[in-house]
Amino acid sequence: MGNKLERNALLLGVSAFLLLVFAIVITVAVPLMQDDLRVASAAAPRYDDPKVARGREIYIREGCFYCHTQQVRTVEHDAAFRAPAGEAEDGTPAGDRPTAPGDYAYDNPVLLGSERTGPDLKYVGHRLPSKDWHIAHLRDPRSTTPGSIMPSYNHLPYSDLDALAEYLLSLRDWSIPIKTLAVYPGPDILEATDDIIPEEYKDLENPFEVGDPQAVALAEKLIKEKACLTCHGQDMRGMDPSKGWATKPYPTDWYKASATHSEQFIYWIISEGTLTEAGTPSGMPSWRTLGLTDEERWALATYIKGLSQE
Amino acid sequence: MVFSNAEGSASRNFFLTSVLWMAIGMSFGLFAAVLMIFPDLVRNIPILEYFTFGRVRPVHTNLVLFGWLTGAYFGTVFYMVPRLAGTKLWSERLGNATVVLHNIMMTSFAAALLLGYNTGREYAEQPWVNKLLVAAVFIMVIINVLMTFACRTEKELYVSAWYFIGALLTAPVIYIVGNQFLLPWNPVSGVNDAVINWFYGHNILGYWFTPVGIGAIYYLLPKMVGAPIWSHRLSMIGFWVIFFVYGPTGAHHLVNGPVPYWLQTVAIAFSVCLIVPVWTVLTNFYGTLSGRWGAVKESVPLKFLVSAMVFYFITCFQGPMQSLRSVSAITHFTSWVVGHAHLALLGTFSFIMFASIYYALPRLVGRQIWSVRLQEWHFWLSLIGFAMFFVSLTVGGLVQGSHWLANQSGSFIGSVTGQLPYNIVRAMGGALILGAQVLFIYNIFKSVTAGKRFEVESDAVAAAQA
Repeated sequence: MGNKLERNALLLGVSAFLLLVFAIVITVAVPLMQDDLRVASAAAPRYDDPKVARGREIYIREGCFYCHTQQVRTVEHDAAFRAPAGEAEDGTPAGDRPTAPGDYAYDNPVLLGSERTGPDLKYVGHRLPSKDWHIAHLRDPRSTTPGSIMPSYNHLPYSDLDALAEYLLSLRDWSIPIKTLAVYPGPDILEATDDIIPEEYKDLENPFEVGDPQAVALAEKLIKEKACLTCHGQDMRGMDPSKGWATKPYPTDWYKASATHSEQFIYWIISEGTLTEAGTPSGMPSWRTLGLTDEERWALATYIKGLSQE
Repeated sequence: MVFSNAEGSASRNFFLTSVLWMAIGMSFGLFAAVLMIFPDLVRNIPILEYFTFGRVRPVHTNLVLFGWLTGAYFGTVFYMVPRLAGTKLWSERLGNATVVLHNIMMTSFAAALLLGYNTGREYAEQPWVNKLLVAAVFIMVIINVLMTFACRTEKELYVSAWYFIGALLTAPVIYIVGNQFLLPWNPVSGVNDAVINWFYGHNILGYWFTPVGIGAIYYLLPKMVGAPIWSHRLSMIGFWVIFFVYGPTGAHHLVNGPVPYWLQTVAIAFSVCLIVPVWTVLTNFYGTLSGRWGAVKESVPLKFLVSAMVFYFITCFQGPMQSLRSVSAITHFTSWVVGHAHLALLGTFSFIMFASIYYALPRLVGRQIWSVRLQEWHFWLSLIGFAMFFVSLTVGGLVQGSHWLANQSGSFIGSVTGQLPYNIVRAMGGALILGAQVLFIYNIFKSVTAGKRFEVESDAVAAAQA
């Protein structure tokens, strides 16, 4: 056989081609016939909203997928990129798992990505649910995330940034209904008083004394890890329209909150997050559902409460 | 339009235009590397502000893969195939028309990406029209090569011819399947889209960049050291195993990801098997060189070939290892993979093409390489620049992956800021590589216009040149 192939160019080419056909059959054709790769899961994002679809086109046009993945792997390395544990409408547990083929059923092209120069974005809508934050970040990434090497997209028209931000907010586990994530306080945080604290938060005891060095150290570590200051300002003085934050609730000035609010109130906000005037989740997520323990949330409340006593 | 029918002109024109695409493509690569250090470099500069990393990177990859490497491969095939067949190229006119179409195609490639026309699929970014141009270029080359072999006087097909024929008949199929069957709309969505994308993204290496590069070494090495290939049988085994084993490996780009577990396992198993053909090929090259290593000292093209073989050995050991689930968990998504890709495409296949151009061009234009000294500078600057580039990406990638492991991807920004020193060394290495290519391009254009007369018969001259 070898001898014949050494003389017949066409036979040689056809043999090489048949070897390739074998590869196409097992690694392209068989997966195409596998149903579970095509059937959508409840978590799969849809693109019915034209603004979201437009945002996705801009995401592709600007090549965002070269630096951001959209897949949570089956390894522990990716744990922080999972959606928070929640409940679907029928009460079954949802979130807190690696991504599965059904989560991408409506994606064309699929944007799994191959490099993580920046963080995974599959569930960024849970981690950073504020449109204002995303627009501020897209315009000047280093103002919200010091040390970021993302390009500035200040040159894009507002309508593009708006659509892009809507798309990023849509990157969530769609089986978890937005409103049931937590009980949220309303948009006017600093005006609110202790009498709106829900029953279950009213009489809780802070396990730490204000100024407890152990609590302060834990809080400082968490503030860095969870990047709290990307919204609340590197000076902890909060955000408002003069600093480019357009809609309520504005990220709170911690010094003011510290002076006017109780530990229980601060602990409640950290635990449950806030809502916008429209009743949708704001940039302040529920850190309870995002996995911070009671102790960690009390440490943060203790830290903030301590600011007014420095 | 009338195209030249002069013997060797198509090959020469492919070489001379491909090096220009290399210079432009590598400049975009360096620009992208600098943007990672100074992300606000183009901010608020009219027009330039649109050229952010996400738009610059695909221009770099497309120009160096399709403009430079593929162009130089066509030049190599057009040079070697007539000599392997013992006849002239079937049609120099068709060959020169292919050169022109290839350059139009690459201009269109660059323009589309800079204007933001991107399909969202890595290495398959081009709009539909440009993909049709790719198919047209390949068909023109296939016709020319197969017709040349049909008219051959040499009955036996040497192993290089095997590799070229195998590559030309399989690579277009991979391109068509991988680009959603070359349809103007996209019939496949969901994770199958990624499965198909990586079938293409990996196999275009396996069935195009690898076999033509290996085929070129099989041609060049015996010529340069003046000895026949060590084992004919081994070369045959290597050929069939590569064409069998490479195909199902694509899904190793999706290891631990949202694709079926069995598909990952198949990809990993075949990836590990890739060690076999690679080592047969390298054993053969080593055997051919054995006892003749002194020649390497005398010849820059041979230095490029030997370095390429060393890099090929490393990259093909890395590849199977990083396909394993446990290793991939750390290295996947990091700059380690970027280093690996450059090891194959720059360190191995581009180095082979430098040797190919240094060998073929004097024989095509009848003039010697203008400056041996510049050749030496080209080699050493490329080698040192590449070493800096590769080591910084590899070490940086491990640092990145370890940061994610230690924090389970929390405090992510630390893995970004920690990359600064590696990004700086990477850009410096890239600048050296680009500088070396500027010397190379100057040297070969000088050779074509002002080189001394080249005598094919004179073995002494040939040995010094080759």
